[in-house]
Amino acid sequence: MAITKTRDDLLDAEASGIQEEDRALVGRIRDGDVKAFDVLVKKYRERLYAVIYNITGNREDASDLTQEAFIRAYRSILKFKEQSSFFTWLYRIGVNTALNFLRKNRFRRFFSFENIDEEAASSEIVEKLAVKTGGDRTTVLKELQEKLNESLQKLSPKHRAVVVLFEIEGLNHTEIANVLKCSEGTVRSRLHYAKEELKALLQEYQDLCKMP
Amino acid sequence: MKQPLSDEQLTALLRLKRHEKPDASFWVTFDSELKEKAFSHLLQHRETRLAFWLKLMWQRLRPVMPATASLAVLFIVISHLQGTPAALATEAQADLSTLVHSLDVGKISSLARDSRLVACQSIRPLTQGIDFSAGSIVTVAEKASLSTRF
Repeated sequence: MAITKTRDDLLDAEASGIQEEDRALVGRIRDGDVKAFDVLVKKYRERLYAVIYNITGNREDASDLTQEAFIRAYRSILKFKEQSSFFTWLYRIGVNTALNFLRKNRFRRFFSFENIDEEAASSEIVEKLAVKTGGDRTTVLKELQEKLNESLQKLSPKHRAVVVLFEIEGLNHTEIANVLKCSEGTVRSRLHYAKEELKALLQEYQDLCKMP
Repeated sequence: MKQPLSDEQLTALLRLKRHEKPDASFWVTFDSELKEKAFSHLLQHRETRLAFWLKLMWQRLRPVMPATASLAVLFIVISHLQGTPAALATEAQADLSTLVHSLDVGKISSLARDSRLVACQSIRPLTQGIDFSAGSIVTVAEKASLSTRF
């Protein structure tokens, strides 16, 4: 318990330090220092891109929308009230940009999946699947990636956003509620529904994911 | 019948998506595209602002445009009718000629005689044969100045 508490304290301290750093950068941007914004872009572009990509399921759209989100963030930097962390605020802009895009293009959807690194190929799930099907790990991984993305895209955008933020990005319920500007109860409810849907869609992998 | 996945199993599957990442070259393109878009957005924003102010000015001026245009036309016409400086000078000369021609010759002769009476004897009488046509008054003055010298 003491170790966990210390670890939590370290994580809190780290988060606090990151927030202070971000606030300093935001202050510099407001003073007209454009290079400070470049620092923030480099710091958060990968995470923001990942969120938008997982919501849209298309890497080209995700690239455009991430850029658009950064431009919006820059334009709105004076409106950032520092009540939440900069990253939560940036996530909010990114998620809203993605959801608005999906709303406008709901009848024109093309999937374009991102590369998946070799580290995933050595995961336990992929190993077991390769053994079960007799295929090589790369092919198995590609098929699994396709199946995961297809299942995710079958959810409604707002349910998908919650799952992406919680399961893939690792945000907690409070942070997700801040990002989506809804209550924690709404977050839990959407998350529960989304997970039930995904479990049904991914049932065939049940044997591969036996946890100890 | 298969059991549905547990939360942990689902989490394990979804965590695989954390490995979906673009390579390093993607970010080089991303950064340059972002700079381009930011710049063109800035230009567009400035043009939008200029268009906004022009539109606002047009809306404010439109009601008074006919009156303003009429005044402008009137001003141009008046300026044209009043003429240029050269034309005005020609006009003045013409007026002077008319004035000279309209002078009462008899009256001027008597005035000249009177002036001769009060003038010095060196001033020769020049009133005789005075020609009061345009420009001759100058000639009379020149003759007067010549006669005073001699």
